[in-house]
Amino acid sequence: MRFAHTFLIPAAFIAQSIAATQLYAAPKSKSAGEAGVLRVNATVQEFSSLKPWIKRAPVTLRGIGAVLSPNRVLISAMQVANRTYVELERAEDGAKCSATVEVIDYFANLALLRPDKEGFLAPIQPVRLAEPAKIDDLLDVIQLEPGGTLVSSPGRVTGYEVGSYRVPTSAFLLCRITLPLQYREGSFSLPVFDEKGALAGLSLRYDNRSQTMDLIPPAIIAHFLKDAEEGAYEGFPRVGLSFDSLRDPMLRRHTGAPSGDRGVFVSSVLPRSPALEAGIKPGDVLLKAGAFEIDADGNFNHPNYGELAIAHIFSTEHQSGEKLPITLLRDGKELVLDVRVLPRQAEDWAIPPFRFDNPPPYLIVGGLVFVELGRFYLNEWGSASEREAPIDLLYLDRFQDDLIPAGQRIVLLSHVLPTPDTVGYEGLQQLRLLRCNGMDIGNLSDLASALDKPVDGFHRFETDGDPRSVVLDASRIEAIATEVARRYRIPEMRRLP
Amino acid sequence: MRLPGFLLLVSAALIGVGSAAPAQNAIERAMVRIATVSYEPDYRNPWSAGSTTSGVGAGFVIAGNRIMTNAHVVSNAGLITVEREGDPRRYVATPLFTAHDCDLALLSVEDERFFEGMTALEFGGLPALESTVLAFGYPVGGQRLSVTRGVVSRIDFQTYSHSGVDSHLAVQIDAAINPGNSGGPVIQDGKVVGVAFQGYSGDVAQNVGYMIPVPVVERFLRDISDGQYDRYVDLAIGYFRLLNPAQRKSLGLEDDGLGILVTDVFAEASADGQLKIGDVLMAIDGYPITAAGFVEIDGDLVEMPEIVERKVKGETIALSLLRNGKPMAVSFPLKGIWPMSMNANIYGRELSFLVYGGLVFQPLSKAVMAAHEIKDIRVRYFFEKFIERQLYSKFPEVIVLTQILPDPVNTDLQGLLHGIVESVDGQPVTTLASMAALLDGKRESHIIRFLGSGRPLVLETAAVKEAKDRIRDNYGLTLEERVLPPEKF
Repeated sequence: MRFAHTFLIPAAFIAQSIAATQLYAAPKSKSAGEAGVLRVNATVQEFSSLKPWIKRAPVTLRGIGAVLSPNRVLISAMQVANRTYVELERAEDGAKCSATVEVIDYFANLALLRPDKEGFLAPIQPVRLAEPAKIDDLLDVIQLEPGGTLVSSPGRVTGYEVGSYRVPTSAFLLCRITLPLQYREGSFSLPVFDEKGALAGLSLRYDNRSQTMDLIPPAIIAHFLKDAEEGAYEGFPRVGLSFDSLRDPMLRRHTGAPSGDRGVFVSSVLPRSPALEAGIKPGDVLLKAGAFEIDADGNFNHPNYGELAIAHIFSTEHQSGEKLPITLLRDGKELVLDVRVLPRQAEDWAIPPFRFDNPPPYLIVGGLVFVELGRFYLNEWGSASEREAPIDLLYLDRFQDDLIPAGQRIVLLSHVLPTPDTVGYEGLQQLRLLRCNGMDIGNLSDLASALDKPVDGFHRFETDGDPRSVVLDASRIEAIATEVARRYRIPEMRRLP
Repeated sequence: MRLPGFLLLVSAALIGVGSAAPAQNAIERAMVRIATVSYEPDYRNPWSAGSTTSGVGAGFVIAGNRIMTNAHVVSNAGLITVEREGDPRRYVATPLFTAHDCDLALLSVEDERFFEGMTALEFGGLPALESTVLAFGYPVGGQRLSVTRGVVSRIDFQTYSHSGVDSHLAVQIDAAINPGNSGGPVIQDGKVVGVAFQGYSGDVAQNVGYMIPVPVVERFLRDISDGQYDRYVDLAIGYFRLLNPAQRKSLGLEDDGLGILVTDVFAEASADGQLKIGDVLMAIDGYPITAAGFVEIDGDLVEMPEIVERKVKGETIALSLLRNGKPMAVSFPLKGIWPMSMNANIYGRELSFLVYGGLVFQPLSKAVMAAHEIKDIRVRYFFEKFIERQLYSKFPEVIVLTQILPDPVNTDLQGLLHGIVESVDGQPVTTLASMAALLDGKRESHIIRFLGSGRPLVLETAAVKEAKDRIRDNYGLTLEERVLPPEKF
């Protein structure tokens, strides 16, 4: 098992050579302050999922943020994930100031920073958000020379689509531009401007082979900012249904959908979802979402972006808590249901898609290391985790909504720290814990409670699959803890959620 | 002939060696060159006959005018011919018994002249560690009989790569056993002490060869003595070594280093209804079982399943155990674990499949996974956990939509590829046969549902019928279905 730093490497610049290429001269010699940008340096420290009591070595990620009024800096969320220190740096004079993350959304990969010093941003002209760029428009990607000189590289907009962002399960509108971009240090994320100098996006990723950059477009930034302005940040909502194409004429006839190419087949409605709440059922034919007609592939025609996947309507056309009218065909009759769209936070997943900023909980008892299963744990198998990670865990993760009851987590016996008391248990790993001392275990806190009640002087752990039962002598727990702490230098035996 | 990468195959003719010692002349008079024409099944085109390949292997004559060789030499063979030294004729041979689980086969030759002047070899015992053996065969590129001298370097359980799932005793020799020794005898003191069968490709390990030792050969001969090969039997349990003092104490066990914990009892197999999860097995056929899962036989510690290994189907096993702390004894007849075939290399069976509306359905198997490069997590789970999760109880066969032969009738169905069939018209599908029976075309349309998918697959009978001839002709389907029952044993 090895660890992959997948989300710490700026995707934009993996293995890019620093070949001396012709520098692109900025058309207008604006300063960084006039353009509304400054450096953001974030020192981050990831938590180890396998050894959750340790933080990995710190790494500094440098990017460029855009200054927003009043007194805020917009930056990619991934740059400040697991931050230990965030600092703003003015390009012109090199002045620095620590900053606090005020709002962060890992799904949309956006964060708002507030400088810790009043007036630090005063010399910098705040930016405003651009109107949606059209296909073929030229946008300027901003980088900074080491001396602070602003370099802008023009790229042409080639299209829009709903595509994956930086964390699992995230899919939002993204704008694709094509441009050759030279490697420069400090390019973890870059602001992009239109010809009027308005903020046209933040870079999401850059592929240097195809020379394409995906941008977080103004629509996503605007949704994020509006949410942030309205008090407690809620996040991008969702509807919580999955659908299949209704192109197949035999399925169309079966569902009673009119011939043509309208509508998709609702194949499932997620538990605890807005769609379920609103009364949408599997088997319904979804014809319209809001004002938009949905075609048989689940796309609609957006006035600004052209053909887009329906997910954009669900996540971005409305703020959390708003009502989205959905037109369905059920039993041959049309009906309209109002769906109150709401976000699904990472912790609402039984197996969370990510965990940043909060150290992973764990509990070590008698040398047995227990953790809660998350996508981050599976990431320990590296970029090929879909092939390499244990198939039962992948299966649980993929079908968690069907397999795991509401409100439960998967508690895993992750591995065993060998001591003389764990003889015979050394090889146990990645076993799902079902019960401890006769109590059902739905999370690590349950386990902690169960450990208060040993049965007949033993702690009995019941696992899903071989060996089914692992037993510890309750009277030995403290002695083993001392032993484990000494041998493996573990400061604390537990960190509960 | 489809062979795993490191099985050995003879590819040279038998020619006597002048310098061979007199004892070796007797061995030469027992040696047989086996030539085969075999078909390689094509799981992507299960209706086709598959391609044919020719191969050459070795064998030797044993008592009763039978030729012993490796199963992999004669697997999937359409024609087997045998030759002997000094005789230009080729004789047609037929397999009497093929044991894929221990890579052994016996052939007969109808023409009695073949055995005239041939010497039947006799079997010795298990060679001692560090003792010298001679492997007879015809390594790649050579035309003459090769005798390789080697030292027995390890006697241990090994996976037999022919089936890929069976582990039996195997003897490791430190001599180069190369492709060309397969099926040939390994001799010590003029007697057969093993049948050369597998090695490693050079990039894994060099000068390491394996032979099937006499206990495995004798078990095979005993199994077939009733006229049919019944395969290996298994206790079909999962067990955990009771090495942890706290665990032993909680089970009320003494600190005597004995006993293993039953953690699984597999349905439909030997111990089903006899043992329970949580039982502590103390002795097997009177041999005490150590906490590490070993028993002592004739002064040697061997793994507990070795006791079962030596038995044939129907023979009983006796177990002493503790259930809820109380001593008990059970005995029951042994049988095989048929769901093992999910993960095994399968030979000598025609391919089961069903084409309906250009949709190809096949029972999941190792070969199907590989041929269609299936990565779907649900299918992988069903494949890898078929036995462990006892998925076979509900799905004796896992029917997968493996291919869509594009046609107007199915153009918008790609999203269903690699789905596992759950039901047809609301009736559960548990085997390809049950699916075929349900898809009778007697309804206006059939509705197939896939596990975990809310989207039904609707197939209008009229449209399927209209497409039938077109798909058959376009794709050269010589056969539209071959529905075989799952092989249970």
